[in-house]
Amino acid sequence: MKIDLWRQETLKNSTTNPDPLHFLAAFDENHNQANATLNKFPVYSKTVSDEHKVMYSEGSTAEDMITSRNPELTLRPMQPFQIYGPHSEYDNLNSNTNSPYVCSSMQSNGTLFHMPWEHGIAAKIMHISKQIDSPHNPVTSPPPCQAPPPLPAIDPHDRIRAWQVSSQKYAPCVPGNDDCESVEKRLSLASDLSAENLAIGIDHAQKSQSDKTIVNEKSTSHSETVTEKNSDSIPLFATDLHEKIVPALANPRLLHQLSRNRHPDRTVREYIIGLSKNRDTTFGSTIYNFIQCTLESHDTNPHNITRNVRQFMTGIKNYLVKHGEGELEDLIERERNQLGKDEILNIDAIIEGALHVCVIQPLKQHIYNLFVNEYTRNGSIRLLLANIKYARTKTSEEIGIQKGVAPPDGSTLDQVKHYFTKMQKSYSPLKKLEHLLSATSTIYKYVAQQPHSSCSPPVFGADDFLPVLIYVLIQCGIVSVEIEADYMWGLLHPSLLNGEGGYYLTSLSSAVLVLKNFKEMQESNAAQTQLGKLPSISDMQGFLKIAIPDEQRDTIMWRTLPVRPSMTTRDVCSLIAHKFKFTNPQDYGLYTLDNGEEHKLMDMECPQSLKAKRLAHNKECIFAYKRNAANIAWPKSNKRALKVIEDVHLCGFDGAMRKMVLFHVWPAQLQNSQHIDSLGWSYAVYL
Amino acid sequence: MAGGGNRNFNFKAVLLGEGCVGKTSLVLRYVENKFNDKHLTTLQASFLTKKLNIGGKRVNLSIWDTAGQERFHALGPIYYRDSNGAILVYDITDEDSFQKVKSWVKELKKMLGNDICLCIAGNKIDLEKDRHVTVAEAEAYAASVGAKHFHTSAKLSKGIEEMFLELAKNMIEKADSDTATRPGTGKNNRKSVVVVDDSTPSRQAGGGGCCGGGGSS
Repeated sequence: MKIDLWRQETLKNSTTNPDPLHFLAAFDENHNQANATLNKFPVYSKTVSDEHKVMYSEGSTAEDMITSRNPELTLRPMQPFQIYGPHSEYDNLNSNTNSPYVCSSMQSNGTLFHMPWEHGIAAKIMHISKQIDSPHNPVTSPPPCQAPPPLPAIDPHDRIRAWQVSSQKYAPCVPGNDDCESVEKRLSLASDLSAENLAIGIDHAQKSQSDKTIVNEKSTSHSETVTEKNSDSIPLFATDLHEKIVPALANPRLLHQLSRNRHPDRTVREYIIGLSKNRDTTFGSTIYNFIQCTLESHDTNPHNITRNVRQFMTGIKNYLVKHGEGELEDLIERERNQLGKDEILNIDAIIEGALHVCVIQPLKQHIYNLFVNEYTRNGSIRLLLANIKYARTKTSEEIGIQKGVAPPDGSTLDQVKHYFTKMQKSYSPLKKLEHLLSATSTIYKYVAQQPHSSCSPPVFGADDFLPVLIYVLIQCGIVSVEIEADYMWGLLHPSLLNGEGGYYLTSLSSAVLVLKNFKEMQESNAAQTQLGKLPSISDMQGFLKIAIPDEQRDTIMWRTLPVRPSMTTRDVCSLIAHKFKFTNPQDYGLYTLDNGEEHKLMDMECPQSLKAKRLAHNKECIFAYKRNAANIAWPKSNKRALKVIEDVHLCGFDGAMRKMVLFHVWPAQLQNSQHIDSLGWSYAVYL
Repeated sequence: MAGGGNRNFNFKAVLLGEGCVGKTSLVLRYVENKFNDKHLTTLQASFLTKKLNIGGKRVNLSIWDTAGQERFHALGPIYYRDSNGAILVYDITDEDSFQKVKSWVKELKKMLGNDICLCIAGNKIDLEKDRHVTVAEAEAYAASVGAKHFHTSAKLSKGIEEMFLELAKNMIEKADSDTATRPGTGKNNRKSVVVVDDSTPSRQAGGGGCCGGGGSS
């Protein structure tokens, strides 16, 4: 029976991602195969002087591009991912560990033969793990100047043609007996799950037909769960939740459709893809022109380009829906008449999927190229890389993982890395998002399996999830992760962004943001604990703590004032003079104190930016407002102050006059006092 | 996407508050009606959805949990972007967590103005004996910022349904009034939704001329 066959296939591939958008994978593969050969035998290896004109193979990821341009910006996964299993006949190419091909093997699918599925996982299942000698050297970069030879530049026309040729390799499906055959062929050949899983996406998309969004959020639900059901392996969620979710995902319609062997949506999609190649149609010529214009455009801002592409896709979809093209309407009508009672055609989802093939695929390399240029130029990649390297020296608790949660290791990391690799290789943003969701689902599955001690968190909310995601990113060391996230942000249909997909994409971007500031944050935390300095309101942006010497009483008044970043020294002086009623402000000035030494600030300097700069270098930054003529011997350092009274005047932001007084009492002095709370300081707040 | 026309609403509500105030338990109790007191299993509770029917209006509510640890504070804007509502949770036994709620409210007001509906939840009322935030203070504060205040307990399952229901009603009201006051912009004015009309969009990028022609005809 076909269903049995399908089940077997599912079991066999239970570790790989079920593939609701199989057709996209098919296109990806076509491309990768073609280009893998090209890359291996770089016949046209002519030198290209301008690095920006280097045309990478269609299958190369943003990470490949980064690696080949800036070999020093490469990061290996923390634990080398060993390659097990049968080697290809081109093994001689990577027998030498110094060869550049090996160095980029983690990143590049263009330079190494990759089986469509993960060697490691399959081999482990078959217990034939064989370890390759791999130097345990997680953070070495590949030898410089040995980047894989670039492919020759192709002009856009050839490129589009090449793409059209390759897309034709995807044989159209004709409903009927032929289809039955092709389904079986697919089942036996497919590396991922069978194409029938396509139905999952579509089925879910059908569930809320009422809202007219283009691709339904549900289509990106954790598709992993389906595999769970089929392979009967470890439950993804707690049993009861599991029971609740699984019936929704493992829909009977999927099996039903399988036995029926009809794929109306595929027929429609293929027709649209066909239309896009026909330049006699308005649809085809518009797409062709758009791709050309985008490729030739001088706009180098990747965000602009992705926004344009997104808008174009939305627009052309509206055109197609409203005006039709060729025989599209007839075809849809025909398919509609053949629909079963429980089926619908989600036209929006079908068109969206087709447009990813027609529009995004030819532009993927261009967009990646712009992103890599932009993020190399503004230093994002370098910053992320440096921080990942730094973070690898830290413990999981320092990364923020809560006590009692063991960070993912070994096979879980392998699996997550596997999904991230797939994410990088896909060109369709929807497909990328699915792989991201598979990765997060792997993390959840891992946590669900963990034995729980009494102190472990009962539920796995964002507080627990985010640090684990950060940890995983550190381990996998994907320097292009920000590019991947922004690629998805730019190209996904906005209706998806408020759903589960949007949530986990947000988590990914958050993790990137935290990572990029990781070192800075750790060091400032460390510096604070070292100095015994506790965070106070004056460390926050928007506030400035100022020492005002009281010459009558020989003391210092500390005042914390709301100061906007744009305010100049002169503004701050007049603010102080006004607030504390200095009648002769012209005699006073604002100073910084450095080890008791005074430096007067220029009128047009901005105290907030000065403070930010010094804090970034972990230096103290103390401001003083004093009479210019007064000679004051300042204390060498204010950290020895026993008691500091901070008088915070909160009035600037919301107009309401409030006064908050914080008494900082240094912990050493009052160690046994009951006033001390968990932070080590006692305080009183009056509003 | 708060569409008003066909009485179908998709709302995003973000959950803010310090770590350990019980945000996650609260939402899990609401969506799954469970409270995990015995540490039996780990449940995925970062992103949950709930379907509601309020007076014939169908509401699809997505609830976004956020990481409450101080080190993640800067991430707030990424999460609350485009939210229709926010639930600010504090622990009634923890004065600090209440101060944190205040700072979130201030930030939300500054960044989103009145576009967002606010609910404040004083959680863990089962620990009434350890209360450190007085009822009067909390309610007065909530009223002063135009937020609804609720006393909740995930453990006892108290006040949670009411809170989400109230929030949903507020969001519907807001969405309806937005539609009414801005009929031109239609369903919503959120920037996440690219409203592209018929035909090909205009393009600023170089060479717009040759792509503009085809689609619109």
